[in-house]
Amino acid sequence: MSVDFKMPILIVDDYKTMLRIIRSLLKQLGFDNVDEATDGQDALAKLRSKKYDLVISDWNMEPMSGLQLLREVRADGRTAGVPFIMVTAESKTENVIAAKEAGVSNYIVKPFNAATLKQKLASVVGAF
Amino acid sequence: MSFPQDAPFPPPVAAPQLPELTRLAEIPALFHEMLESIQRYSAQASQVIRGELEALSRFIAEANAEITAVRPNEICDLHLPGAADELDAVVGHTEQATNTIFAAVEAIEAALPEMPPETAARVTAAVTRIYEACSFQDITGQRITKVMRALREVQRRVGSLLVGFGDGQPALAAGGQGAPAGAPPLTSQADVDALLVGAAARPAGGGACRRDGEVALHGPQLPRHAPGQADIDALLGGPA
Repeated sequence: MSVDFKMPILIVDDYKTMLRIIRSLLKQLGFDNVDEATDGQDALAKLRSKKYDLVISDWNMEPMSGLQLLREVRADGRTAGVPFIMVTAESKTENVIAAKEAGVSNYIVKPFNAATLKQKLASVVGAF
Repeated sequence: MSFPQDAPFPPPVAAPQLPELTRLAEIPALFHEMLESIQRYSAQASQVIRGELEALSRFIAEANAEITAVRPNEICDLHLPGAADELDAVVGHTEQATNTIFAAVEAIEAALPEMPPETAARVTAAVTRIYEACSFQDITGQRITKVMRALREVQRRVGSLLVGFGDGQPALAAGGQGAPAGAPPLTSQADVDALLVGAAARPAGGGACRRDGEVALHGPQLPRHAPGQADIDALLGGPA
């Protein structure tokens, strides 16, 4: 099955610079149907109003963190199956395990490069 | 040893030989001597205790003088807020620089269609590396936030020290506002937090290690301690 480069993607980070970086890298990979959210609550509102095929989210955000967002996404029947990639500076084992137990699809540790983003993306949406 | 069958049991014990008191008048003298002995002992013990207390008092006075010489009020009123301002400026300037870089990179990307394909591919690769490198600003912002938390903790502990020596304000020890009358404006906890939550700074939580529910958050690790992506992949169950 070929990858749909028009798939709607939601990227979530409270840091505008990082949103800009991820959007630019996704565009280079061919994905340009990208929406942004600045924290978990903002993302949840968007996820409940529009269908997304992928969420790429930071962890450290307030008032709702990426982990809390992930749990909400998995708890909601409408969004439970959406692939969710965490992109974060949190790299301790306990953090990765917590995200894994919450149902994360993949986990990228910052700083990351474009090749890693492509690899992790391909692991959840299919090779491209 | 065996006893004769008709001997009394238990066998009689000889009475102890006591010193003979020839005169009752010796008793008061003995009593007086005992009393003097007790008084001498008490005096010596009191002297020892007094000496220890005096030494402790001198130690406390010296410690107080040393701490005063450190001028902890200046630490809380001047140096820590100054450090917070400098760090905030660092975050602000790096964000400005990053935005300038992005604008330039986007201009280069806009020109890609005009380039020969081979050139465009090389330029795209270079642009990608620039985007990757610009994520430094996210990491430095988080590291600066950790430093700010450490500074806040130092401020809190210095404040506690001031309160302990009767020279500070309890609110300062608790990380709040407080300044003696006539003193220079004290940067309050609210001011430090406002600096952190400003446009150029990332939001900061409280404490050296924040928590997201039951999970501790540590922020970016130092390079020599940080697990790599391969380690993360292994935790998730293999490369993917």
